Amino acid sequence: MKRKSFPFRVVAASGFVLSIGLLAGCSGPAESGGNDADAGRTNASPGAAGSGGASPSASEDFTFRLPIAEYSYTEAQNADIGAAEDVLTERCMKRLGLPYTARKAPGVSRASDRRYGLSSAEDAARYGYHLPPKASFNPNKGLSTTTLIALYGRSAGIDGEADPALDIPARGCRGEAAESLDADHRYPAGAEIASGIARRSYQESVEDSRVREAVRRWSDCMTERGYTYSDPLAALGDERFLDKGISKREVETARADMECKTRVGLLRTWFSAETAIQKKMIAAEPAELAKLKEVHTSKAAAAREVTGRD
Amino acid sequence: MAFSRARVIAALSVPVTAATLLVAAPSASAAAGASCDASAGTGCLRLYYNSNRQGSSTYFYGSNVSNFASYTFLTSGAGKGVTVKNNAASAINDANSSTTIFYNSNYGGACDTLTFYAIADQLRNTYNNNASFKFDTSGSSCYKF
Repeated sequence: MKRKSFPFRVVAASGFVLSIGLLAGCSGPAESGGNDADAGRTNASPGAAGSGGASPSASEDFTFRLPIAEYSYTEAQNADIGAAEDVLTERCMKRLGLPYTARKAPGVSRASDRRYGLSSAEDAARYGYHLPPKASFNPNKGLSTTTLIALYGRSAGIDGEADPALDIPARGCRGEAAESLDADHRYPAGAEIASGIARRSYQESVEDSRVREAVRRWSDCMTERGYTYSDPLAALGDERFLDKGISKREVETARADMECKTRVGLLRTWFSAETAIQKKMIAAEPAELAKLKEVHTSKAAAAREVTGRD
Repeated sequence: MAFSRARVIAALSVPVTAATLLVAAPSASAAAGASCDASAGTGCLRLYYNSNRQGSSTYFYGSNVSNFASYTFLTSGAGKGVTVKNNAASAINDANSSTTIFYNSNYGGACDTLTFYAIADQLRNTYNNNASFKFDTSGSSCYKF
């Protein structure tokens, strides 16, 4: 039996299934009115924007303000680890006698959050449901066949062959770099727990009575404007909006989506419900999660030792 | 689809026509095949029909995929010809960067990030619900554990 049954659904036409939310721990405010577009800012973590400063894309961040985010690698840690992997890759290539300098991708700001569907009115107006465009970047452009095979290994599908005498690591120098840094800083069981919380909290949040009610009201609001979607993820995934171009209808739909979210307080309600759910789940696994965080900290520190940063 | 089972069923009941062929996705440079091409610079995400990297598989490289519906499993084995959308049970990330698989189309909903060369013998968050993926950049909105 391969397919699992889908654990949650909101039946669009189910009408008033207005169960009073006895769901444990949900302490969020009543959500009618209010500026939902501000929801991403109001509980901002240190460093997140107030009304002025940071980029719009940062200010609607829900994923990384949920409690489980504390146990994820941070952007800074990821940058440290990426830089160390580049250094280790270069060393490996030097050992093979191949000149190579790692190329860094141009920096990009984080796309606005899509955990609850579209979350940025500004992005909606500019890009509809599309991700903001970014320049294509291929770090391998112009590299020789031998260099590519040394970087990724002999079984990575690179056309051509490298000198059989070269002692290329199985996954190439990039693989060796990643593996060597990871070797002493792994806690897969903890990662599994954290990942499971991030999944189950989302699934439970969809079932939360307040979320369901807000989704129903959002759907009604969209219907009033001539758009029929059961929920915001259905709008985001509308296949008419997945092609390359951004149509006028797409932008209009996306704007209505954000206006309806604001009107019914959907993002704030959803974020509040999932926050409460995650807090309970996290409280059940404190030791494992604390250890996971330590492992992340120690891997980032090891990375900085490699690069000589800090 | 997170909320609507009906949509999932609708997506799955689309007859798979070009069973063994790569069906081009709408986006220009999305690439998939029965083998990896690491020169694309993104590395390769290999998705399998069954858990524990069993059954038919397809490699993705070169660009993000906003909807797996246009792709089928390509290599010989169980599931060959079946649409990749909502049917991938395990994966290996042969990428030189992290890869994020999203629960919903167009990079929405809950997600799983596979780090460098990570193996997912049973996709944790997205098991049989994978709908889109993105080769990671520093701008990814998904946790990395």
